[in-house]
Amino acid sequence: MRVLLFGKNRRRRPAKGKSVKGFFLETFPLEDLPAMISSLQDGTLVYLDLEGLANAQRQKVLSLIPENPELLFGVLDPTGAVTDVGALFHAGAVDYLGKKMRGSRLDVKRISQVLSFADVPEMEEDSGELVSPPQPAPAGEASADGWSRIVPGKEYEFAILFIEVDGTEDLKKKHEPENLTGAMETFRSYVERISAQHGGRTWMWSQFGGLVLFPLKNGSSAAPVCGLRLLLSRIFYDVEESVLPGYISFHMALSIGTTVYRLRDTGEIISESLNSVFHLGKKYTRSSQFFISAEAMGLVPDKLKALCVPVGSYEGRRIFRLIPPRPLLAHQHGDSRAD
Amino acid sequence: MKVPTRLATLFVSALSQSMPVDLMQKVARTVIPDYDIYERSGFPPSIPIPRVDAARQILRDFVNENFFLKLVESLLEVQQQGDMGRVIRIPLLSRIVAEIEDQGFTYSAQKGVFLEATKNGRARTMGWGTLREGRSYELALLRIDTVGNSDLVRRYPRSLIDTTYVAVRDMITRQVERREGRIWSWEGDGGLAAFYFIDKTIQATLCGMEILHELFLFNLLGTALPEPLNARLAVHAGPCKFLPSSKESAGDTIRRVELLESRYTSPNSLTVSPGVFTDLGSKLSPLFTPVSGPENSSIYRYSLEWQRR
Repeated sequence: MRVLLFGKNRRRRPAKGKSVKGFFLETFPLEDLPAMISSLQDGTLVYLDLEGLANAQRQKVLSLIPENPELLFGVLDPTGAVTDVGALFHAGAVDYLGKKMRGSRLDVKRISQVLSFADVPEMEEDSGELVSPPQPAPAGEASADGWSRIVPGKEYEFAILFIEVDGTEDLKKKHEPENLTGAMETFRSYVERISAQHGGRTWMWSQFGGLVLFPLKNGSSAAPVCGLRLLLSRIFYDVEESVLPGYISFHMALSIGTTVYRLRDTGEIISESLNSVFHLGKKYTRSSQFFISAEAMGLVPDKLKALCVPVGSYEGRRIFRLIPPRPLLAHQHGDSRAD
Repeated sequence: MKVPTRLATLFVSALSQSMPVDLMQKVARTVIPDYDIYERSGFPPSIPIPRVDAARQILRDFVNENFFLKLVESLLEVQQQGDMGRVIRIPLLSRIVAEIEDQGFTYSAQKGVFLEATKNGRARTMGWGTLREGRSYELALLRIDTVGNSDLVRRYPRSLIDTTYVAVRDMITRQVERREGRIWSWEGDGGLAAFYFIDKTIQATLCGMEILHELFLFNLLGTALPEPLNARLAVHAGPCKFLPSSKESAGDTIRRVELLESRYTSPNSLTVSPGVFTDLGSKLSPLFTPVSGPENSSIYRYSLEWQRR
């Protein structure tokens, strides 16, 4: 589980290294908060450090608590600037560390207590099994991405994007388990952020990948564009976020399918559509490639269809591959001189 | 920057309560190297200046010479790092910072400077609120030019061209400011962006790469123009005089980046000068290919290409 700490004097430190009891503590400067908040997974624990904030700025930051009921908020107030602490909890905060607790540590014990208070089940160490996010999605969320009408427990048609890092066995051999777990958390954050920009939410997730759901809105979805952007932006992830020394690559498969949308116990869902996209992604899609089923080709904008080529059929369905341009490594260039 | 009475009082109290006069002068000299508290105050060197008088004199001088923010930045550094192994605690410093922020600035701990606060995510000045006009700074410059503007203007309605170029400029401005850069000039179909802070060459290069990627998506999905818009981009770093009021770009670094872009860069690619290339590190540099540059030098090119199937 991600625990994010935003503060004025915090440096950008995304999850690196090992998780402690399944928690990843990441710190970010406060200026990153507006851009990140909309892409955070439901149930993420977000601490707001009020130290050094002017009154107006403090009020602005605290106003985020009632505005985002799907996130869990804690407040660090080392100077005791908040006069009505109770109001924070009335607004939905789940933790407060004030002036008299200066020096108290935000440790695993504290976070466990907070989660218990917030009635969130504790996460186990990542076993590699698919797990569902711990908190319910917001009901009635005002958004244009189609999630507003999705009610947990009911069945819907989604564009389903399977994504998985390539060469997982090699990665396991090359890296310590704890380092790899931290690295894969940054990958998940990357997928979450880009997906959220296109109306998608990561749903089932294992250590190396998972599914992203995109509700269909009038039969359309930005899922294919999301896949393209994930491929195009990969180099920026490699340079700016990844903690692995080499380049990461991943494969993706996109299809349309019907499934019950459930927040917990997703392992019990029986869905032919989910099985099908898992098989397409795991067994048929090759490294670094983005495959799209014939049904999902209907979601692909016309100009983007020019980048898609048929690659055969799988389980009776025609499959296409979207081929984006990419930066080539210097040694892959045929020419080395200016045009 | 205007220093209101409350801020001035806080500053004088903080300085006089936290350090002796010789340390005040030492901190002041990190901003104004030849600053002499005795000369400025008129106290003879043989008479010790009371701390409060010294603090007031420093405040007056630094406000008059428009160096107040730089002095507070130095105090923050002293508090963080101490002085010659001594821990220096400066009371009220966080309140001073809060007061300055009420004046429309924000302190970036990462960069160690006060920056102008942005409104609706848009930048307000070309110098981040910290560069001083007429001074030289080490900057990384990104030059952007869209190709074939005149042809497009002849072939398509003016309104379509205008809409397209406004959208492209907005996209470029977003990318530049997202990486803490500033657009320094823009003339219809191209412009110049500057990057100043830590990793400036890498930020300018990543920004150029990202603009190429975004332009690819824009051509594919975001424009009504029947043909793709192409751009040339170049990055070079070096000393550059900050002249926000001058309309004419000048200086060797600017001339160099313009030369790289206009003469040595193919459409839809980014070139970087050798100095920039050496900063790129092990993950970025393999993505660049050496190509011929000015005076038989090698410069380095990045472009998006389709892999061979």
